[in-house]
Amino acid sequence: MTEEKTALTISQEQKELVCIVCPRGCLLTAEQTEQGIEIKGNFCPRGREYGQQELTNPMRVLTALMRIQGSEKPVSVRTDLPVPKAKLFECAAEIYRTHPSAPVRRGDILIRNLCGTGSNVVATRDSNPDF
Amino acid sequence: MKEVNLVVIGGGAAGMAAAVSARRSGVQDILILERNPSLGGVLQQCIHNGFGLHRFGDDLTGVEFAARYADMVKEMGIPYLLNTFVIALNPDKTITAVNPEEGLMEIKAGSIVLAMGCRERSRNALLIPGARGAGIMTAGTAQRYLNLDGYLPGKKIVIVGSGDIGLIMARQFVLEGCEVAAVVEIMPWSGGLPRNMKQCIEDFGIPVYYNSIISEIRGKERVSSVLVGRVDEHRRLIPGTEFEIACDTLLISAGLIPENELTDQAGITMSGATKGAEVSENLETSISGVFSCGNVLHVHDLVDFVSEEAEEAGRNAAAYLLGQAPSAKDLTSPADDRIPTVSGDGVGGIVPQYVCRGTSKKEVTFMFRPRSRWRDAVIRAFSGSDELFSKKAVALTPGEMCRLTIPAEKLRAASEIRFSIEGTAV
Amino acid sequence: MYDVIIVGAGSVGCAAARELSRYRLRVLVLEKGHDLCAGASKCNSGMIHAGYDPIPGTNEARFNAPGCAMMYEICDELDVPYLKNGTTIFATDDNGMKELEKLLHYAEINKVRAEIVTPPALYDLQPDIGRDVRGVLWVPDGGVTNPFTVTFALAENARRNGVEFLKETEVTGITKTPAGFSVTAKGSVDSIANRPARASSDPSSHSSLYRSSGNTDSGLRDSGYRSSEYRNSEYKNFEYKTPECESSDGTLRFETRMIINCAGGHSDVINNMVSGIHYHIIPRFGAHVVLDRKLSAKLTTTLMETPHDLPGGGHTKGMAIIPTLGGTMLLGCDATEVGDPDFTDTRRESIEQIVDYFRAAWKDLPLGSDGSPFPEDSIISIFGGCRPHADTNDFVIGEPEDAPGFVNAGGTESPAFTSCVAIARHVAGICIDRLKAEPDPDFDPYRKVKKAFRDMTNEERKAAIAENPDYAKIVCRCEMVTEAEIRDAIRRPLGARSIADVKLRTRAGMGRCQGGFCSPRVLEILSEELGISPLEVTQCGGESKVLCGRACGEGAV
Repeated sequence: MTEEKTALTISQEQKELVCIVCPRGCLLTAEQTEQGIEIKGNFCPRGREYGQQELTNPMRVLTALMRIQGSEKPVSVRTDLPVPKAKLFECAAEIYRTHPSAPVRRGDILIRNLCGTGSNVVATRDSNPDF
Repeated sequence: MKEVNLVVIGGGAAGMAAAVSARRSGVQDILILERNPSLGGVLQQCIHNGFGLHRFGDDLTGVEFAARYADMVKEMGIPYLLNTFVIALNPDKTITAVNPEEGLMEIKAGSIVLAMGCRERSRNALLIPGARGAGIMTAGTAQRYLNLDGYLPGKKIVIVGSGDIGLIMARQFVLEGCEVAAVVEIMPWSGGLPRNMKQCIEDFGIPVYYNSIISEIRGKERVSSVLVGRVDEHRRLIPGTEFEIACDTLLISAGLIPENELTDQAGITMSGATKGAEVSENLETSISGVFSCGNVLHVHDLVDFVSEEAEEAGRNAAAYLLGQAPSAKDLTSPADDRIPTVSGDGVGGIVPQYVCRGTSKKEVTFMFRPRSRWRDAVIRAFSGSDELFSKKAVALTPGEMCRLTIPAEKLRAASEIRFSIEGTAV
Repeated sequence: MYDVIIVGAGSVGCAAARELSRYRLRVLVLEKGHDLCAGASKCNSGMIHAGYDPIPGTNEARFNAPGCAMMYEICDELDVPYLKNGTTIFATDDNGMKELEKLLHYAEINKVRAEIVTPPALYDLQPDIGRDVRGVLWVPDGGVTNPFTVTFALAENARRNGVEFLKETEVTGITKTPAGFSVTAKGSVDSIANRPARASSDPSSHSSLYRSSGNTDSGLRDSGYRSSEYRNSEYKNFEYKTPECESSDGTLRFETRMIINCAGGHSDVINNMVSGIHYHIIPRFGAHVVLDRKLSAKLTTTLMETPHDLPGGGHTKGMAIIPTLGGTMLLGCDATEVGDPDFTDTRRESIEQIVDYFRAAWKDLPLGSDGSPFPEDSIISIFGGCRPHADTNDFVIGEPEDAPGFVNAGGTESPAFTSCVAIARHVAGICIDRLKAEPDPDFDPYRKVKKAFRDMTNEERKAAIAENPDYAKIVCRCEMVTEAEIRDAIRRPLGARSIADVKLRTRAGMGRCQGGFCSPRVLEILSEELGISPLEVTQCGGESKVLCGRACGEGAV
């Protein structure tokens, strides 16, 4: 095996893809048919949906840290819906730019419609927790 | 000496779930001992999602998953002590613990659930030679610096091992603006979940070097580069294959080890294969009334299954305390009443290590990790040449636990329960 | 003007400092490392060698056996734990048995108690030893201590008795002057390494360090230093003296009457600055592998193979398995010549050599004589460093003919750690005679330390927590080290300034998880105690900062 082959790249994964909907990680195969893309190997319907989405406009839940004014430690946040994979860095930058004031409570919406994705950024813990 | 019906050592995913289910099963007098300043254990630093799909049917972050259980503990009014460190566990189920408020306390427990979790293998346990300055740490330590303290422990990172924590950290570092230069894995496959390889590594085009090791760490006061070299089939470095990758940080993500020092101290029989206690199908250890669950019993792939196992341990502890379990005498019955589980071809350490022939359970769940990767596989359980059970699996990898639930009826006549995997090795 | 400057704060330098502190002398120790005990002493196994193996007539033979007795004596005075567990050198063949005869002969000349024991008497002495072992040399006076604890204890006691220390100060030149010597060095009297910890009982005290308006020349930190040490009543007897030096652009210049060269791996460089009678250090690297403590019950005595001559001159005592005070075991070490005396990387070849040796020898040792295999998964750590072997194949001791007032204690390879007090008494004696020094009636030879939490009984633990609740905060799980002990290690005179310093003083991070759990908390405590940002805290001094920036995109490259 050569080094080039061991270094995986995204482009090799177009026909076979691992479903990331749940930790089961089904190995999906995608085939271009006249009716569109056909997904096989999925255990549940969400897998088919994921496969279709992944090959047209891949989406990811983004989790990150956000600085809080008045708190030494950042708070952890997530998007409440997946955002386009292509926009992950843009979305992360927006999260890093935003510094809401303490206190922040778990479940608080800290950014609405993040970068026009329709997804909100939600705190996953309280600011100034025990840690 | 304080007396408590059920003491749960550890307030992480396993400990909280065990306490909640014991309370639901009717145990009133419960005490959780947690060494950190909050419940949740390592989940407090797992800000990523992917937790709770099995347990709650929701895609939660680790922090949120922990909060769901912590809320249950609080709503049920289950007592817990934080910042409390157990320093001794004795065979008579007495516990010595310390915390700053109450000082040193001695507790006599009716039953104990061990839920201490696991630790990461260190650089030295992997015998990685080279420099010893700053910039070398486990992926979990890096995760703590980042997610709990808000500091970056490095900016140009190489990760050795492809365990899940390392993969998750790779993605987070990239999204923080840092560079992850490589993931280096000694085996020909990833040790993590396929979904993490996809969404943390392949999504960001991070190079993965399989069949490779870090042959040397370079740098004086801080890491400046690592040498990566390929290994032969005996996992030994092939001379002349090394190349250098510049980096300021080396993260170790090469395996987890159950934290069983207390278990050992109490003289509980340990399994060399799982590095956890040997348990019956009731998750009971060699000391009757002491149960073990979660990552201290064996390292799980998913927290959902940690919780599930811990709830089972909590139920069994309750049954023990409420007198529904076979008496202690039965649980420590002579060896011929125990049916041992045995790892056959391709099968790692199995939990439970044995099943009591007279078990009152209707079905028994067995868990183990495959030793390598398989496609179109069948997992079979035999007693001698008699097949007890079989289950098909599309794909098996060491990163994922195999779980098999077998009706107890099928096991009663067995002399042993030997698991093996057949299929196409990949 | 100093009376004596000691170059190097390893075990020999700190022992010399303590010997001189018995007299009314102004003494300064200069250490290039970020901490004391930063060179060969740090990489030492801690074995107290009885003195059976040095070739009779050498300096090594002259100082080893008396040094062994003195080591036990100062451990008692300074409250340093040790095990007098005896040393067993084992032979499995005829050549080995011949070697034991030779060692027995050396031991007799060196006046070291030793005897050859063969089966069946051997099985009374070592019931679990492997059945292939033909005989052993039993040396009852051998022992084990901890080289860092000894060095820190010597330094702390010297400091208590008035000796000054500067860390991160590397001697770059020595010139002769009419009164003695002028010593130039790179360093800063105000670096984190040399600055006091802030007194945690008073949060304002740290800023007062910098507002101190005393002698602006070199007394920048004077009042702050004194106040913070005094506020900790335990340490009130430590009188601080402002280092007496000229300072410009990171170069310090000190005047002194005499110099003691205890520079270990660099002792040749220091000697060659002053004397035309040159010698050279051949750095000999050796590594130790550390095994987790769960195996230690079967190992009581230290076991060693028979020594080997080395191609480059001198010999190595060979591979040994050494029980440590912490309950772990050391395996090692090899002897490999490397160019750089400061080389401390772990080498693949060294690890393989040690592991391969013990894998093969395991059946002969009490741990493996029952047939159990070498426990590779019990390896928790590896460390290594260089022995300063001199090309004279011996310790270099005393004044060179062409440099009166300059006293060597160099070439201090094994058994120099065991011999450190004996060497120190000899070289300090030269200074004391020359300077006609008067004994200091206030000299206090004792140091009392609190028992480690892990070694306390539960009653003692209760009392300790009642006095200081930080004793109930366990920071290092594996070695059971409390926050109280970590804060004390930082606040003590010559205290810890980095994560590695804390580790050497408390064992926090030395256990099976190797600091995975405790180092973030140790870092936080260091940041609080030193009054610095977490971003400034180092792994081991210098530029070894643990953290690189703040999260949330601020660290983008």
